[in-house]
Amino acid sequence: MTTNPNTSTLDYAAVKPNDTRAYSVRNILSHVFALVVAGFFLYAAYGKIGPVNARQFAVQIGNYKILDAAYSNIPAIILPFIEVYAALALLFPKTRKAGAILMAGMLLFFICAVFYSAIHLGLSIDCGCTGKGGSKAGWGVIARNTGLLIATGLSVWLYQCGPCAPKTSVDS
Amino acid sequence: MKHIFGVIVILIVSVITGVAAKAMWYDTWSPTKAAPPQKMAWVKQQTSDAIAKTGADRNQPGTSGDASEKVTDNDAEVSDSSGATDASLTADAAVSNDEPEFSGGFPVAKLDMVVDHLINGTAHFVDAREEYEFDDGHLKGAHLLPSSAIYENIENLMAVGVLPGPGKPIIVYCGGGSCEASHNVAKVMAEFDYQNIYIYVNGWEEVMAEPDRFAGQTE
Repeated sequence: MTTNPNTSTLDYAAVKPNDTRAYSVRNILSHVFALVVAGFFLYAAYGKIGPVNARQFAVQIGNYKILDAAYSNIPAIILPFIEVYAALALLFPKTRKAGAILMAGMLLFFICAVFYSAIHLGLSIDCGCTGKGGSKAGWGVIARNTGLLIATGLSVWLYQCGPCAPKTSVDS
Repeated sequence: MKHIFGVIVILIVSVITGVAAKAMWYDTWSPTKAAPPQKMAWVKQQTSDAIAKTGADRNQPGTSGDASEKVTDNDAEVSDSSGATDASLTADAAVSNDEPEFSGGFPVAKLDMVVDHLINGTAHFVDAREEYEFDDGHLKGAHLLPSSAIYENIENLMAVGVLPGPGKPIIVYCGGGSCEASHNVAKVMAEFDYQNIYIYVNGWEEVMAEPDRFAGQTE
């Protein structure tokens, strides 16, 4: 990056093309990561919303033995909607940080829950991640959730650092 | 700070949506409404036939003394909320001379009872474990109803002739331990009017530990 010593301002002609490209790539990557995470969460929430799906999800939550079965209905009803709204928030740059905070919170909680029930207690249970059966809770789920957690972080970090277009330097 | 505000807003909106969905959508659903009307009519017919047959069997002389009287008193009495029939429970207790044990509101099936029913084909066996565990091995003739997808698969039980009502005993088993999965499956089956449900609490763990007793009874 070169600056014009006479004016103490950036030489836009010299730096703009590369930085603009970097800006675009970072932003595109940010959107891609956000889309992947949000898409997964929307798909997961779809399988948990509805009278039958919510009942099934309550059973899956009960299988974890973290909550008493009597209380598993409450997260079974509310959690899918948090997933939907957090996913939508993650998609839009203006609300991305708020969505990412919720996503990260949920993912961390899911990782801890799977670790506690499947690894620590040794329960052979379905993860209930998408409301449908067929995905065993274990290291595989922990790895996938960790990946989603990293992608969530990147979607925010890349977007924050995205505006790499040169800032005007302070005149001395 | 504004992001935290955003998080709070999302949480509040989620709670409101959830409460609204429960009140206006989820609570209007019931298992009996969900089943196809034609099938339910058939199921009800089967159920009344089963009640009549059970009553006739119980009134036959020669069944064990006091116990048979107890059974007759409870004849055709529909079970408690857990779905277990008191009458059949008393009958089974009489056979084994044991006090019936309960787990999560359901009578517990012990090893002898399970082996008897398995050999004589006098009970339906429902495997509450996951599909990958079922594929590795299960009790002969058991029906797969994984606790992670009960509602999706419960109609498959009706399709293979495991019907709601006080028919043959239904023994639900899982991997062992505290057998949470089988309790969940049993609860949902009771929602669908299944009765005479037993939990084989020791489950597959005991089946593996007693290979002689279950010889030829697994697949």
